[in-house]
Amino acid sequence: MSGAQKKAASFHQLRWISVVGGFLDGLMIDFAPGLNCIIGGRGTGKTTILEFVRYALDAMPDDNQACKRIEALVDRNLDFGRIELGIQTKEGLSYIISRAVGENLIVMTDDRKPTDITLKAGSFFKADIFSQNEVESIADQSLSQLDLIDSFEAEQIGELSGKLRELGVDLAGNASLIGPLQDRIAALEEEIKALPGVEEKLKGFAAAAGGDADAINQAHGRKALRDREKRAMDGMSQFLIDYSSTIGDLLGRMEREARLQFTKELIGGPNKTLLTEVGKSLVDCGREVDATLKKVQERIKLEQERIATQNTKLTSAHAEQELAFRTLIEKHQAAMGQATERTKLEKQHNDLQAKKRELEDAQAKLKKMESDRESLLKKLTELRHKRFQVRKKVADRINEALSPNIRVTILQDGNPQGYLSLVEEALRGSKMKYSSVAQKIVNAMWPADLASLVRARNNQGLAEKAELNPDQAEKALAALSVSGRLFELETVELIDQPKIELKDGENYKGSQSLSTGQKCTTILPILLMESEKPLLIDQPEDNLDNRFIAETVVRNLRSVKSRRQLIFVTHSPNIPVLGDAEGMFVMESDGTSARLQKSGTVDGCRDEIVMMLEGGEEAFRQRKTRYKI
Amino acid sequence: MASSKKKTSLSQTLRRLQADGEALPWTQRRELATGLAAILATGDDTKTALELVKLLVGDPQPEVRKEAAELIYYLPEKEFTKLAAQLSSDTSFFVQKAIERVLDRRRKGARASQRSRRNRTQVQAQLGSIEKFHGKLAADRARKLADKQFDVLVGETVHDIRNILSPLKGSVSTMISHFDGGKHDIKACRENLVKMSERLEYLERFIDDMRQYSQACTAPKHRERIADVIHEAKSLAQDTMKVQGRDINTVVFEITVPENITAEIARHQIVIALVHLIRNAYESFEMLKDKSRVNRIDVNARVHEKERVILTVRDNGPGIHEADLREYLQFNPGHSTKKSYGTGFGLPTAHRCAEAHNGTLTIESKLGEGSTMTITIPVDAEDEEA
Repeated sequence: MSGAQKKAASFHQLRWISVVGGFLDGLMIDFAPGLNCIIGGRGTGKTTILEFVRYALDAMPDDNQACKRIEALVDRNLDFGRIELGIQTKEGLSYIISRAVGENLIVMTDDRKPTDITLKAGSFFKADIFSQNEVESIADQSLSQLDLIDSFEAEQIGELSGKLRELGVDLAGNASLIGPLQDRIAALEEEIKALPGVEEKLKGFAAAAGGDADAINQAHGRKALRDREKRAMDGMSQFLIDYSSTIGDLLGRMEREARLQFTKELIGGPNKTLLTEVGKSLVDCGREVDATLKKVQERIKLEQERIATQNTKLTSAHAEQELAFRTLIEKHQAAMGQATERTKLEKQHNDLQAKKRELEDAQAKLKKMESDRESLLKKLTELRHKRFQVRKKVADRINEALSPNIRVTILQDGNPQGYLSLVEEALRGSKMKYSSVAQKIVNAMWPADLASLVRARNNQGLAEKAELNPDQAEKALAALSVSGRLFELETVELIDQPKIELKDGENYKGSQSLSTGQKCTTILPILLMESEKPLLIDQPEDNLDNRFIAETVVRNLRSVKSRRQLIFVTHSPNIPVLGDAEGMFVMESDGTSARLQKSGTVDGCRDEIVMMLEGGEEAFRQRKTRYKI
Repeated sequence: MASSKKKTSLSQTLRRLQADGEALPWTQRRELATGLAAILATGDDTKTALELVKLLVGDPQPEVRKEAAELIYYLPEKEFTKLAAQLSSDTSFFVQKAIERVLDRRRKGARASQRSRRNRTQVQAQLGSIEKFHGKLAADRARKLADKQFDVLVGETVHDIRNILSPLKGSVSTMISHFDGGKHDIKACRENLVKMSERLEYLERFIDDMRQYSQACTAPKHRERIADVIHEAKSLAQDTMKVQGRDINTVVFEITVPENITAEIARHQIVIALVHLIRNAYESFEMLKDKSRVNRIDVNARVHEKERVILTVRDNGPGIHEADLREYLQFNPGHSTKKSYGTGFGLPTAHRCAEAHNGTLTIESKLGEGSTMTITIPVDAEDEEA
């Protein structure tokens, strides 16, 4: 391993692969920074090497079947062995990735100390790997095309996806609060409908109390007040208990967190003094804060005790006053009969007024949450728009490089399938041709707009925007007005739809409708564009004619290989020879195991290239004579 | 005053956005676009509005562009074409769909006015060719005849519509004076409303029939099984009778048609013709008071000398007076004998459909025994006449 790897490059590189156990036991390949070609006869393990790299990096394809196929291949050929990959990140840092069958991969430092780095996020290290026939399959699937486009700006897209995920969590949290709150409000509204009636009755009592009316009314008023006093005292006591327990939750948090972050690895590492100092200071700070918090809790406890004492006093005062009330009422026979009912009503009145306050509070909360939701949704729209703009820029970049032969366009929100299914599902069973109505609605507005039309019960707006008749609009609105459904609608994923086209004569043809060869012709140049990720392809020449390889592919790879590592498994002599490969690896096999027969530059492996790829020197010479060159 | 204030603020907004397209947040730009619809539709201050639309169709936010796309429906042709072309290749799905809808609406509007223009030119051209082949005199007479036919049709249509409108008007003023007099007789109001709704339904039917009659038969012809056509016509006719609240269960309906008969026809047209004949047959029973008699309708089809399909609809109703029959056979619309529900377009429409297939429609009738209506059409469609 030369000094070259120490030099910081602006792109990721695979430095070497080594295999212990299985078909390729003992294999060790040192990759060059530029173009690498793995050649050899059939069954010499070329494809296996590529899939081993993929397995070690856990860069499995999304397609489940392809995933299983690769796992089976690794299983068969690794035989309880281990794959190790030397990598160098674009920052110029070297690591070793190690993985055995069925285990998770481990990222180690160059001196074989394990780290807790993962490759999942993709920003640390990533490679683009394409098995045989995988290239043209991109042409068939718009989601793979989107992935391909996203891979050019993986970091930005990853960041936006992260933000979108967070936003999704926030929106779900918001929805889970709004729903129950709406239910509570409805229930409270229903309950306090009794309030005017109760108030009316109490007024009646007050008016009809006769001679000592004033005294009795006053007494009843005081009794109600006593009830409210008791409520306030009890309410506050409960509050103090909760309050103190909330503070209790904070105790020890800082120290625990500091100990969690400053692991043994860190305080045992090279910056040990600094980190230990920071850690200790944080722990001290945490302890000090805890001490203050405990003081706060003590102060609260003191207050609780005070309240308790006062509450006892209040209770006995109430008892006395209650007695006086009784005496007064008993004096007035007429009021006696009503007293029980009147007291009951006063209690109910207090109860209802408490509910009214709760309702007002809940309504204010709901309003706040709804406005929160609105701004979250606005943010969602804006983030998605930003993501589209990143993709659009990638498309522009591809077009700039590959125009006019290849044209890439992206239709924002162009695949509304999820949205459509939601609407269809809601409309099913509403006694109309739901699928055409659903399609019209989906074509006419963003899901969030639909949700707000439905919330506002705006039949006419829906009818006008989606060109529905009033009956359809009414039915659709009714079917959609389920609150959970609206929340779901507001956040349903809208997918941008890429279109990759190839110029065929005067017209552009969509990648799906191309022949297999044309598909490769369309996708391969995009894969070959500049990127920080190494590109590994198993037999890129499949389905391509020699002329296209010699002209387009070779031209593209020559221009990119100084800024991107390329590793190809190939049977085409044109790729290594015309591409002037920096690394040639010739594989051979005896049927039970395979090995690296030779490696070096194109010139160093001249004989093997002629033998394997041209069909031997004799065949080459004969072709030369035949073509008269 | 208010409008002039609005005007200045609109042009201020325009200037602000011209200087910086994102001077306002996109949600406000979207509201602005939505608000422009009213201005463009009423035609107030369209100049500033137009400039704003032009600006907003190029907005970076698709939500704004979509609103702007909906607006271009109101723009004059020149601007419309330009902006529609620009928006058709928009990068947003929703903007593209919006412009598709707008284009569709404009096209439909244009097509309606174009169609009436084209029809008028066609008549002129036909008269021109009559003059060329048969001389000026013949063309003049044809023109006069056509004018006269037209006058008769308009006159009778006006008469019929007035017959519907007069009682409607009567009912309305009865209702008004009813309420003005302070009465609230719900039952009487309901009766009146039912009467009104019946007249309105009749008006609707009248217009539908008239439209069906005037639509030229240009539908392409395909080989169809006659049995299917007859069954379709039967159920359609029975449905319309049911909708009108007539009892069809008292009539025996029998179809005799060999399964293998086919003909090259515009299916819809022949179905319509048969529906009218079957409805006529049903309606002929309405005048009979005798509830005990057995009413029958027989529909037959057969092939005559391998060349012509003969379709007959026979009823055992009261039959038609000779004088009436003579008038019917001219197949001019507007001679309904059925005062309350027939529109007078049935037989003329059936006749037109038969003629459009190079066929004939004949009616035979004997008072007291019933009527037989016969459509004869060729098995194979002949080449279209030039």
